[in-house]
Amino acid sequence: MRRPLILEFRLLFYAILGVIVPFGVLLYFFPGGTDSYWAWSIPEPRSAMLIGAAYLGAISYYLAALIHNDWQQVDNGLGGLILFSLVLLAATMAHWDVFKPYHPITLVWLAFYYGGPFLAPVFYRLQIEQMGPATDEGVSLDPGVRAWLIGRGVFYAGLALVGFGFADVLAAVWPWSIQPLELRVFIGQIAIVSWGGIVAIRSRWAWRWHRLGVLLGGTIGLFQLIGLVVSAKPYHGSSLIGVFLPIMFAEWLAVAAVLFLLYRRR
Amino acid sequence: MTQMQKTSIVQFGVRLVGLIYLGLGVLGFLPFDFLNPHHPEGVGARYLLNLVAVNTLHNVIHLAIGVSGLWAAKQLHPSHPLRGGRVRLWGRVTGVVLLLLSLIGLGQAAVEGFPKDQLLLGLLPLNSPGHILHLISGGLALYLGLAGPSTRT
Repeated sequence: MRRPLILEFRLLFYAILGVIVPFGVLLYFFPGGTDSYWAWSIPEPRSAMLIGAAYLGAISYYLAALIHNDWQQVDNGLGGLILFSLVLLAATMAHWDVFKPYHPITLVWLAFYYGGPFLAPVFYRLQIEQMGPATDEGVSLDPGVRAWLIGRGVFYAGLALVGFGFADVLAAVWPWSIQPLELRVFIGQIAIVSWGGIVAIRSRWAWRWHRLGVLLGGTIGLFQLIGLVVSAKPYHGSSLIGVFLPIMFAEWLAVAAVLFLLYRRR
Repeated sequence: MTQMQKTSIVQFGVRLVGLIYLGLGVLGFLPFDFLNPHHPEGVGARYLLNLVAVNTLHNVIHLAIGVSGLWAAKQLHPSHPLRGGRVRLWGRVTGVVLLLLSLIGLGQAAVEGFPKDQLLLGLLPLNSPGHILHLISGGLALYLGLAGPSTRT
């Protein structure tokens, strides 16, 4: 049984789209101008595109959520996005000195990432109270797919923890010149992907639980791969992370493509 | 939404806001530089979690909001919807105070040329993360105050 989203969530999603569309377009398509338009100065355009890809990818999630209007599909992807918000709030705490304190984007950024801890639990509770909890309905994931989702979830969760904790060290061996703040913000994307595994561990096997979260990861992976290719700035592809990054983004995209092919018609 | 659902969600929301403010109030008193670094360059405040400018008075106010929120939430029980008046009042008063504080703080910052941090009435250190914290939490508290169960059922 499809349980529609409550009005509060729908309004919140429209508001979020109003923020992430300009964020994504600015950072991804105009990565060289962050000095003037962004909350902090991002010297390397590749880094701006790395962050912008997440916002562009998230557009697909929120549009699909509003179109499908099905709580079971939204529920788990939303968990990943809340985790993303918390990681970015922590990154803001760690690097507040770098921010332009009253830049309009800074104010929106703060509202965006404070909003998670305050609004998400209340709206989540409201959704369950009004519409009832989503149930494990629809076609189930195959055991091999479950194992892969859990395995990659654990791997990416570990990667996110280590990457966030040792961003300074990681920045020194990154394939291009990157500041620890940008790196920590990027770690939020890895946290989103790891959430899919956590969902699977919670024994939610129906494809509908995972659909939008997988779409989100796949779209981010696609934009990241395109960004790596089209940016004319130097990329040290011979380093360990230089080799690993495109493989990771390709995995995000491939998982989405394979799962949608496998379960779309079932 | 039924009266029972309203009661439950308001209780949950007020308790959440209360817990967050109580946590911020307690954390603000911890004198560890890695957690709440001292910023001598502005008004000389500590930045709670390296974000929100605070001093002792500001921490006490956070604690008071937290404790009063938890108390108000405790007054409300789904089986006693008539007691919702107190929690609604808490939501409205806290919401209006926090929203006003946010707007006044932003206004003062604009007048002073958007400094890194500022002192409201010579007493309360504020900065942009603080203004936005007050704005978001005040908006939620007011929403809960307005959406709460009516005392006339």
